[in-house]
Amino acid sequence: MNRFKSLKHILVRQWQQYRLKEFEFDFLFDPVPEDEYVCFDCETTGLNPKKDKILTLSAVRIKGNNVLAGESLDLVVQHSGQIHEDSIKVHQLRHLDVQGGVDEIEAMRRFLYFIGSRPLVGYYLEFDIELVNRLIKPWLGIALPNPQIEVSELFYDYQLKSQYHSPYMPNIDLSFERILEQLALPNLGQHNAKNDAMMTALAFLKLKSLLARE
Amino acid sequence: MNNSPVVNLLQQLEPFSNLSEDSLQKMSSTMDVVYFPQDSKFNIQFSENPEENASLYFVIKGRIAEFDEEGRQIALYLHHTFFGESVLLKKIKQSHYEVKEEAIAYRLHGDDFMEWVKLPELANYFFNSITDKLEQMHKSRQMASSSEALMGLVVDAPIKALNVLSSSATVKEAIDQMATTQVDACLVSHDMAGQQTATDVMSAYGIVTAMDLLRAISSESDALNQPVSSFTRAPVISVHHHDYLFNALLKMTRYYVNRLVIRDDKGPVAMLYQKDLMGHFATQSGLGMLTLESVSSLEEIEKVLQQVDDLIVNLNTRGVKTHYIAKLATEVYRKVFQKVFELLSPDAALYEGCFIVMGSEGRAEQVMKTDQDNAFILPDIDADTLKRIRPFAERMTETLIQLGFPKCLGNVMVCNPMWFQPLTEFKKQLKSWMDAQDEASFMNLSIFIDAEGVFGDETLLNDCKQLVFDWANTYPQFLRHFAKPVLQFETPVNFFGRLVLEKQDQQDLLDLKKGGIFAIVHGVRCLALEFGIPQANTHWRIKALMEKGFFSEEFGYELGETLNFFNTLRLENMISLKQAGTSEQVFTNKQNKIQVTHLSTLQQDLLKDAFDVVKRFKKMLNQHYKLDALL
Repeated sequence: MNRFKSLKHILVRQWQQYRLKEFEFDFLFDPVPEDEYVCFDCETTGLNPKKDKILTLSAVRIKGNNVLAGESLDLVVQHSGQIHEDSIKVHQLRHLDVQGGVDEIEAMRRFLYFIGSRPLVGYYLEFDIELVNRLIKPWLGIALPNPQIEVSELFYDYQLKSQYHSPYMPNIDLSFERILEQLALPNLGQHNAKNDAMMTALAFLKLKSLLARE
Repeated sequence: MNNSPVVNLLQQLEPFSNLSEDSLQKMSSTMDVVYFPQDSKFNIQFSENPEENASLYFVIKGRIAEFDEEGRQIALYLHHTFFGESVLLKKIKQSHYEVKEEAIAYRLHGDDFMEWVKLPELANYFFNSITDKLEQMHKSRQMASSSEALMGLVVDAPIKALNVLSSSATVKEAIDQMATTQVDACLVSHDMAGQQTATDVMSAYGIVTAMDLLRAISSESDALNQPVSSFTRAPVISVHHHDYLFNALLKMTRYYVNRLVIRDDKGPVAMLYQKDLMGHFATQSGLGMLTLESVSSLEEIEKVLQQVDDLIVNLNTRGVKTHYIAKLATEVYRKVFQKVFELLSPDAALYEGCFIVMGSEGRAEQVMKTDQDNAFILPDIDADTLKRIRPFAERMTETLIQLGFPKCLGNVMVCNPMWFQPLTEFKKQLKSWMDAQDEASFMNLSIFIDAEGVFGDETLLNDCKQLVFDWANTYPQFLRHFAKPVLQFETPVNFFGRLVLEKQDQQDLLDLKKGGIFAIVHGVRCLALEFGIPQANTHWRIKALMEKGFFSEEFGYELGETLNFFNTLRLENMISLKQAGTSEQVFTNKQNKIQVTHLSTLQQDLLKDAFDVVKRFKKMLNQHYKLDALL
């Protein structure tokens, strides 16, 4: 089963590489550097992946057990649409805060150079990836080819493993706050893309070490 | 903009707290975050690979232990501490760590650190004087303790309410306030409208104690109606309420104060007294100090003494300054003496006398039970009564020996008739010692000058002491001769700055008492005699000499810390000898001699620095008393 999965994966990757329109970004298909990851998080105009747009994007590299927060990528994306009132309340980015950023294509270019071929780590990563893909597909012809690691999934696995003696399916709370709390991770700062990326990275490192021990 | 947690952390952490907020923001923006899985091991050393290169780590969470080359644990780092600087500053090549509890740390890259450390605010700390280095070692040792009491937070201590008065309040109002709250100090806020800076919440306050007010009243006739603000002192020594109790203790030692103001981020909130703090430690350590009040037999006393021995070992491993351990131990020993006295049903005449302890016991610098040095100054009684009560003295000495206070080799004990005399005779004897100026007399005098009354009529002791002070004042030559022995022993550091060791039983030994402690204690004793300082404890004497301006503030602190360091090494040596079960004889022979090879490099470095302080002190005394001219 697993072998089929990885075979499929390889085929998809090759297909994608073939479809890549801009040869400049061929490095996305380079071999994955050992024990390196990129954790990223976006603040958006809303929660609809089909319509909403990226306001800020933060990414940090993970190397071994180091979260390279000192070399993080922090982008503010310029855009002309309306930010949904509810999301202003969550991340406190007002219209004037996102002025003076870079345009969407430039943001994606920098993002791709930053991540290279490293696996992407995130919390509800699917949503962020979809937003990114919406931008790069028309431009490059492909979606992000990088392997993806979902932190809430790792957390679920870990909880399941540590509770497997129970005859009932455990009711696992997968909210971000709850995960940090369960993993006893200190919150390093306020709710913004950079901090969320950093906290997700820490959660990932801890889960990785916990699951490796089982 | 809100500060990030790392900036907040740095703002509370010496020496980074000295940097401006802008600098801290800049510094923190380059930092990485590192996750250390439980039980993982790692080294800090220089490396080509930037992820493995030496860095400075700030612990946010968890516990990381540091080990030396031989695998002995030398420090434990917890929340709000940092490590890695000794490799970065090339003091050691490599250091080893083990994660005792899963940890998260901020990481400041080595190259960045080396840039930052050039700032004077940090350089002073990292390339510092011996006082600070010792302080630092205490800190790391403090980390070595996971123990509850000392690592407790200031808020958990038995704190007292705080009196705060406006600057317009009068002295009378201050006194009334102290009386109602039963707290003998007041803070007075200055009028500094608009000037109050956020950097130092305490700068707007001065402190005034009951003692200050008493002095004011005695020197000025209408002091009661004057504004209290004219008698206040600043700066107010304070400690943050989330700081460790241990640091509160350190601050008290450092500034020689017995109360601290506790502040939070906004301003002062409460008071902490040294005696409450010591009491807190004592109860937390499982020692019932009060049990001594109710003991009714020698067996029970023996039990209490056993507890004290355990406590000493305990407190030392927790990194409590020896000076404080000594204080605590002394307090207990003195209570024991009094209890023993009462239990032996003494003659009524003895109640009129004064039992004194002398030498290291008098100075309250004795930690383990070393030789007893005690005496009884009796009121002037007739020869018959003296004869009748003499057997009591012998019983007292005998009992104390039974309780584990070793016999004094110099026979300075109440059972010796020389140290059990009526006042007039005692004074005659002191005079003859001061006249004779030979070694034995000087020895006895030195022991006596450090005397403190334990129980009984202390005026007898004060009478005798005054005699010696007067003598020293009238005959300055006497002091010069008395001070001479300070130069008697060489400081064991050679011309090339290396430690000079003596070989014994194939061990490299260093005599701390001869090489360092004696010179400091005796030198300070001579100065105390010259300046008429009544205190017996060397630290208090040093403080008094600082106040009189004989020692510069810096040198005074250095000297005190140096003595503390020697005493700590000595105590550790005694403890390890005791634990190894050495015979009484070997113990007496080796109690002051430490094995240098057993010390860490940091300790050896400190030892050299410490002997350097001793050398400077000797030089100072040499000039002051012109000792060269005598030799």
